[in-house]
Amino acid sequence: MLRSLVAAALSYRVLVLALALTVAGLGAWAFGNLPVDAYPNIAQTQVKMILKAPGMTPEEVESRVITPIEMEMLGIPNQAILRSTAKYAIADITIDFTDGADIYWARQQVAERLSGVMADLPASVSGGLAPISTPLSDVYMFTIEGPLSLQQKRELLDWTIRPALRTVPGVADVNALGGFVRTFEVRPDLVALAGTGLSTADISAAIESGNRNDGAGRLTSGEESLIVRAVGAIRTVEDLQSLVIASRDGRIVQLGDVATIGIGSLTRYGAVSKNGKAEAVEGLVIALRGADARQVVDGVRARLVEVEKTLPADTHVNVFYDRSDLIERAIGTVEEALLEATILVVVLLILFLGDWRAAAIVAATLPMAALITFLFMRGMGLSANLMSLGGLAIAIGMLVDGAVVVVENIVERLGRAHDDDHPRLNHVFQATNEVVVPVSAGIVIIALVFLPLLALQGLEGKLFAPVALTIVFALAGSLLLALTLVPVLSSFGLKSGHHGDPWIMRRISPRYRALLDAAFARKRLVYGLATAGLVIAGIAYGAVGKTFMPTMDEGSVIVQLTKLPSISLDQSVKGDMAAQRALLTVPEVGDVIARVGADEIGLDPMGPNETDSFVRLKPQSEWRGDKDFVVGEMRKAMEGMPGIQPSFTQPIEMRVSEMLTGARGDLAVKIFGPDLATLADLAGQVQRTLSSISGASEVLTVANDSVDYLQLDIDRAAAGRFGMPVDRMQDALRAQVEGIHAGIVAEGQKRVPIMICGDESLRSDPTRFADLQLRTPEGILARVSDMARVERTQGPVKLDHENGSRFALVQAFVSGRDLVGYVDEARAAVAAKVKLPAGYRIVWGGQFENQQRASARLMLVIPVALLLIFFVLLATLRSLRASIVILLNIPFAMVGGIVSLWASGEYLSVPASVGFIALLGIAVLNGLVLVAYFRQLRTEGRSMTESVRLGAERRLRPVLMTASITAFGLVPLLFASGPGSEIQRPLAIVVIGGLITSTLLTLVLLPILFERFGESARETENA
Amino acid sequence: MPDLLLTFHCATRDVETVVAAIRAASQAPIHIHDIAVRGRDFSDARTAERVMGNLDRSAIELIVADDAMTELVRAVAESRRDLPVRWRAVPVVARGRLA
Repeated sequence: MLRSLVAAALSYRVLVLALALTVAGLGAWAFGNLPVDAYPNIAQTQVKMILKAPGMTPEEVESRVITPIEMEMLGIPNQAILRSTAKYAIADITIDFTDGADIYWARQQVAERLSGVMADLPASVSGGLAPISTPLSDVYMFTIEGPLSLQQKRELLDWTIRPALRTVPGVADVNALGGFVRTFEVRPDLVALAGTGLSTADISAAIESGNRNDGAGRLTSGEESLIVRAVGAIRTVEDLQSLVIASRDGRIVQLGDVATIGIGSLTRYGAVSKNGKAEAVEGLVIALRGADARQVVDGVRARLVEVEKTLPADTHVNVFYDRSDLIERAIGTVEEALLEATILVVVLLILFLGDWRAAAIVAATLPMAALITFLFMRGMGLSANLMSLGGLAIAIGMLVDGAVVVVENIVERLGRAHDDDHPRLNHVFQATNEVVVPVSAGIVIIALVFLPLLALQGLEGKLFAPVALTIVFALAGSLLLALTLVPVLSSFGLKSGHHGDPWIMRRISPRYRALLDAAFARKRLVYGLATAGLVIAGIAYGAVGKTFMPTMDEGSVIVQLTKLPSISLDQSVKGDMAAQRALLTVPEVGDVIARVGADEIGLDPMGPNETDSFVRLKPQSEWRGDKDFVVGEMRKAMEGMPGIQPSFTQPIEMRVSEMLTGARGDLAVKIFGPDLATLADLAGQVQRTLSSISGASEVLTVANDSVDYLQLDIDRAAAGRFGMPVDRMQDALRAQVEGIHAGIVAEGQKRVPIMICGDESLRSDPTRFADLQLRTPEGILARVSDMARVERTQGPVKLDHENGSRFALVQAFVSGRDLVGYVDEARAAVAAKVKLPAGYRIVWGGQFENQQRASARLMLVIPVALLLIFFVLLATLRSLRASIVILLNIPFAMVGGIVSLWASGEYLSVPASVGFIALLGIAVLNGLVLVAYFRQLRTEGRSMTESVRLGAERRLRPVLMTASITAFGLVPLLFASGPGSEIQRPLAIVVIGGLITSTLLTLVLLPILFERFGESARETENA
Repeated sequence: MPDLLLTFHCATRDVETVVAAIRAASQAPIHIHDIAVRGRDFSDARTAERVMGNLDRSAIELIVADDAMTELVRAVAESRRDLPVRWRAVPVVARGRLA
């Protein structure tokens, strides 16, 4: 089949060229139209429900909202994990589905069950499914700047900017944070209200029934008809004041008689502050899952330009996070590396082939293979991102292997054919045909080694599957080109006649011959050195740190601040601003925008004591050191701030951690058990133990934290005597503090809520609150303290559930040390120091969990890949001994990889493991090139000694070319400094280091091993 | 004059055209053989044949009277072929049919 393909290509050369041009054009189009993002889509199928339960404590939220929903949701098929968090007034329930579950199906399942259970929840609970977003969805963040008040800015965001941006394709929603949401505020005067014998419930009912425009039908007026419209909707404060709430004996009671009416704001659950100066209003654009982030950002940017023209004078939008910056820098890093690698590869080709025409033909396969890869990527729905393009950068040296072998053989054959009258095309065909099997087998072997990456699960699977797919696509493209376009171009471009050895080979060959002579003379020394290499590799493996992934520098820093749980929102904002002023003392810090508490949509429902401070750094040219130095300076600046505990992360990193474990941090220790007090005690013990281990930069838990409550234990008998039902009393209390929603005022497109709420002074005076007089349905005025026992008490800040079980969480951030080493030590320490009562268990999760899972999976699938490679070798060579000798090459390839990793101070991470996988393929390929030639020489009747010596000398060039081109193709990744280079660098270090030892041992040890073990006694006898 | 064994060597894909031309001029039985020619002269070869170094040819044989040869060669020459046809004629010294 492959032979027919080569023959067909050479028979229809013009068609092949035309097809190549067409494919190149389509590939270029595909590249231009590929969705672009910084990362691949790493989101699992996750459905989030956010429910707001105004005024409810975490325990109330747990028992009245979360528990009924969990009961309903637990039966949904394909469910992986059900996580819930109960906080003050917020229930956050997240369901992770198994990989492959369709997000729309999953949302439908959840929505059906949620609608069934909503009727059983308290009436004040509102909310539902969160938008379809991912950890990468926060693509654009901005503040509104100008002379307007916070309320006006918020109104501008809510009613002008947000609706405009929501229509941009790919935008899931626009989260509004900070400022004040304008309301029509009705503050009943309780004394006046008591005088009329009315209650807040009467006011609420009156507003609801007195706020409507409606039509009554049509009237006939002569030949015309009139549409009857009854106008009764509230539009102004005056309308509210004149609203009649009761009418007795011809006298009316208007709302203005019993309440103060004005413009107020909704109770705030969060705020935004900026640069330690003032509060701000922030908009956050959330991209739809699967949307092309670059296109979304472009669309948002264009729409904002239009919207800005309509904003009031001196008001503008200040963008402080734009994902396209990161995308451009990440993609730019890879594109730059690709370009540099291509230039290096072309230079090496000219050096090794000594023929610029041959070098040009081989080099032409590089862009062509890349363009074919883009076509495949488009077909498979892969996006162009750090990982997929990184795969291409990794493969660049391997892409030319097939073309090099084909061109080299054609050059050699045409060199011998100058006095032959056979058609030139036949020589090209014969030369290609001779190497079809080794070229195909070699490329299949390299593709096979990358297939285990497709078996990775979880985050690592989502990150590295695009790498593997891109490499496999690129290799498939390169094989197709090597068997079609390369022979066609060679038939047009290469000249017949003798080609001498290039300069570089004339320099290297005699030295290699001398080295080989010395090695064959001192075989024991070679064996000894090889064994010593393996021992050193073993020692280096033990010494090198292990981690999941190097941290990618996103360019921005998030400083998470945790304050006392009982802190009020206003005090929390003051603390945030103090922290911002401290951060701004670091010269590298440009801006700090901090968000405290819950957002509008509730995607990130933090408490008032939790703050995410977004730090925008100045350009890197203005820094005094690297990113670690800057973070260190920020940490120093934050030291000693009373009641504020900082931790440092990055925007995407933070969201990925949250998505995976529901918690932030490198390590998330979950302690499961039923009793809150015991959980808090155990969490405290674990926190102290983790803090004492070196490498822990921050260890946090909120399990021990508590908030102060003013608890009203309703005395049923006393309340009953006053004729006050429990629910009426609770509603009345909520109306005084949180406020109750009584309707909407429509102002054009704006919807302004009407809120009934208590006096401001009442909200800040617990004693006055206890003395509050409420009117019962029976018309009696009763004091709150007469119907309930009022006392100060304490309760939990939040309650976490996983699959229906309560747990306490301890989060740890690790820096300056490998994660696995830290976790191993931490596990041993916790096992020794923390005694778990019956019914309690500890689960270790976070980034560390991914590393463990990836290692376990690789340990399983790499041997399978090796077995497959062994079968390919066996099918190609038809010799068990030869195949085993080639596989023996692998451990020696690993020596250089692990030693270079150790020497460079990098950790053994998943990308480094990918480097080892690539190394494995190249080592096997080089071994195959040599051994196949040894066997060919043996079949030609040469002695074993002559075969291995001559074979090694003759195959020096292809082996050196393959190794050096692959290694030099990765050199740009070694020195790249943009975002994403952190992920590629360990891989490049492993491959380059490994190729040095692998090539050396392939060229020196393998001939010796083949001579000794390559043939059985019977084979030698037959030969 | 003895009968002649007339052989036309043509490209395999031209067989039907050549046979039709012969059939129009003669009723003699026609024998067709597929042959592979490892030639050294590729001037008549198609690109695919140059690639493989192998000429895919067919030999069309028929026994005709001496005076019919010129007419048959002319008929083949005028047929709508793609590639050149080589021909030769040798006398048939003896022939028979053994039951």
